[in-house]
Amino acid sequence: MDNEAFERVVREHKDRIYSYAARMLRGTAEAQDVAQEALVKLWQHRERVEGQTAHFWLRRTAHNLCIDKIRRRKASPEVSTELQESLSPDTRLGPARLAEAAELGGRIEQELARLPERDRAVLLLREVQGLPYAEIAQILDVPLGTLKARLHRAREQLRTRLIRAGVTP
Amino acid sequence: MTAEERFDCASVREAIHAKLDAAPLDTALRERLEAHLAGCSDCRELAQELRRVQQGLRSLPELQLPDDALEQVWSRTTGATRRPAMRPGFRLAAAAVLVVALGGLWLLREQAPPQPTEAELHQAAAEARLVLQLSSRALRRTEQAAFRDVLTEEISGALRRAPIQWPERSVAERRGS
Repeated sequence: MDNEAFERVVREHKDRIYSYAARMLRGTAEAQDVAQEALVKLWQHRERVEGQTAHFWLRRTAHNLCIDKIRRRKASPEVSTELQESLSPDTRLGPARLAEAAELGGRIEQELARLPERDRAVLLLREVQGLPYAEIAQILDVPLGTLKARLHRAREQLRTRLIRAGVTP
Repeated sequence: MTAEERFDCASVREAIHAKLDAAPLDTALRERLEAHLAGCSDCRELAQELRRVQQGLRSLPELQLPDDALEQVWSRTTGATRRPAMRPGFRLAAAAVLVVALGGLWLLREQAPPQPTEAELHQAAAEARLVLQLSSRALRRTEQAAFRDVLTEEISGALRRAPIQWPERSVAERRGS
């Protein structure tokens, strides 16, 4: 991967990597570290990573960096206020839908942050980032069948948590 | 037990998830699913709620990596191995800074009395530093490389090539000693 290809990959994927890390780590400060480290590691390994697979390599690296950080710190069920403040609802919706979407979106962020990181990862990679199953299975290093079962369970857990929080999806 | 009876809520649950996964369902399975949902309010509610959870997740906004974090990436990667190309706008800005700095120094030279005192020398140096500081702050926000290239190399180089020529007096005389 030459310099130009690397810069292209960075510009295309930096925000997705950062978003994933922010929601996995439930905060933006450490997410910046993860995003920077993942991109710098890609630069260091650019000789053996092709442009077409760089996005997969980045996500796997970012995921592993997030897991390292989570294991090093004590889990906290609270969502970082800096993460919540950086979120804004989709302004293309009308006012009523905007309010509804904002409330649901905010609650989804909160309850997503409370899920175990295994379930949070699979929802982020599949539902938020839209990756295919095969890639997610490689990133998380789990069999395809296990991955699907985990995703189904995670969807239902999130639904249950939302209902308990008083928000009917 | 008929096939329909075997297609109970537990089986429907899996089919609902398969549909959310956009997995292809054969016609028979799809028809059994639709028939079950039409008659089971619990499963129908489950399907609708899971669909909205999925839509809510898909609507979560993408966060933007802050500019200073991206700048750090560039400085540790491509920015570390090559001089970044200066954008035309920054060439103009850099040229303007150079003109202002040199013009300021020329004016100071022209306006300086024939016998500058030590205090006047210190004042001139302080004003030149202020100009450079304000200019560097503006440039640093977007192009650290331009600051490095222009202010430390080109202006310094220009000053070296066109040093200020003071009247022919000894340093001691100018300092009043």
